[in-house]
Amino acid sequence: MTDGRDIPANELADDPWAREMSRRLDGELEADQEEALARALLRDPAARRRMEACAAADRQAGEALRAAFVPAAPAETVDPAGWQARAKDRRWRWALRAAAVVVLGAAGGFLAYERLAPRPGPGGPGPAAVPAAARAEELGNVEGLLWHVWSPPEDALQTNSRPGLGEDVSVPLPKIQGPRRTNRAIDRHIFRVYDEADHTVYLLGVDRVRKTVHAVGKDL
Amino acid sequence: MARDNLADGGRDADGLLVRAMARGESDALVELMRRNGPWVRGVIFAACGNADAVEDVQQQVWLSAWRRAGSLDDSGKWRSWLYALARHAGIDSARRARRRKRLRGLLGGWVPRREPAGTDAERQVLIAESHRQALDAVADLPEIYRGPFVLRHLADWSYRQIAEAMNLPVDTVETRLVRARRRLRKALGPGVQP
Repeated sequence: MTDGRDIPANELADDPWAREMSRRLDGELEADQEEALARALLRDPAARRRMEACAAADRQAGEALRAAFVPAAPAETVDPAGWQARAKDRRWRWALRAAAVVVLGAAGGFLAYERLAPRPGPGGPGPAAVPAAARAEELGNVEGLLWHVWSPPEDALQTNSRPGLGEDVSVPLPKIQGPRRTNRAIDRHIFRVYDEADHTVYLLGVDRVRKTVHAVGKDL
Repeated sequence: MARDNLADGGRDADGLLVRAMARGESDALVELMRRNGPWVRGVIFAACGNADAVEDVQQQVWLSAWRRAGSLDDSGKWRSWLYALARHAGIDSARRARRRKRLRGLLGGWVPRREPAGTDAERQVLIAESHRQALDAVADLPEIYRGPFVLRHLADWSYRQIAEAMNLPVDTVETRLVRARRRLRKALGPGVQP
């Protein structure tokens, strides 16, 4: 194999249109050069034959190179212009995921707090005064786990002054003197949020508590 | 020129991919390989002249690119950087092949050969033969002519972009292409497919 430097300088002397032919095959000819070459090829049959042979050899070599080095079935194409946007999307996705976790945690904490906070009746604090963490462990579910993470201060559980839950949340109940019975009903709504990007389901729970007080032994 | 503009758009995208690869995003490497694999393989072939060695060598090239992407200061010069990686890997491969060849000579000339995959369609056999003949002709070109020729066919770059990657004047690239074609025309002459 030679290094190519032994080629005489006048190698192309017998082929004056070789440079234009090569530029034409590469699509690098300007319009006026293209026209000049076309005229030359019309006038010179030998040059035309050289051009045809050159184009055929170029095509054959190009096909061989592509067959050897270009995959037959290209992989799925990706729009390169969208690459940066996708990278940003990925960051946003993480932020959304983190926000969803925070919201879920806060909702879980709220649920656990609402469910486990003691409500002192006329006879004292009652069974709801059981330490909240213990109750949460008894639950053995996501809510219980979240309770450990988002548990409010212990003293908040022993009183009605619950931080984060203002009095405006409670509906004033009619004051009934004497024996009475309190009924509580909890409507639980679980929202499922599905993130298609990473096939993750986020659960968001919201409880609505309804409380009614009835006098006992009286016909209302 | 329109070709330059189109390719520059692709280059910007590839520059982004190179930066992402430098940050350690493996997806970017995969996409970069998909977009530039053909011409990288072509440059390896141009450097070593052996089509059978290309697949193995290109894995070294991409591994090397992945490891060194962080050291590329100007991602706008990714083209010449990747070209140099591929060319040097190809040259190293050719050097190793020459050593093996000498060793085989010492061992008595027995060389196990990989047989070409058989096909039952006559047409495919003819096409494969035509491709083999053309590849041999390209492999017989001097390396300085092979480089621009494979880049023209596999990367579809303009003369200016080839010159930039190879760190050569544009006129030199053009001259080498002319001479490569002239030699190919002579080598493939009677056997050239119409």
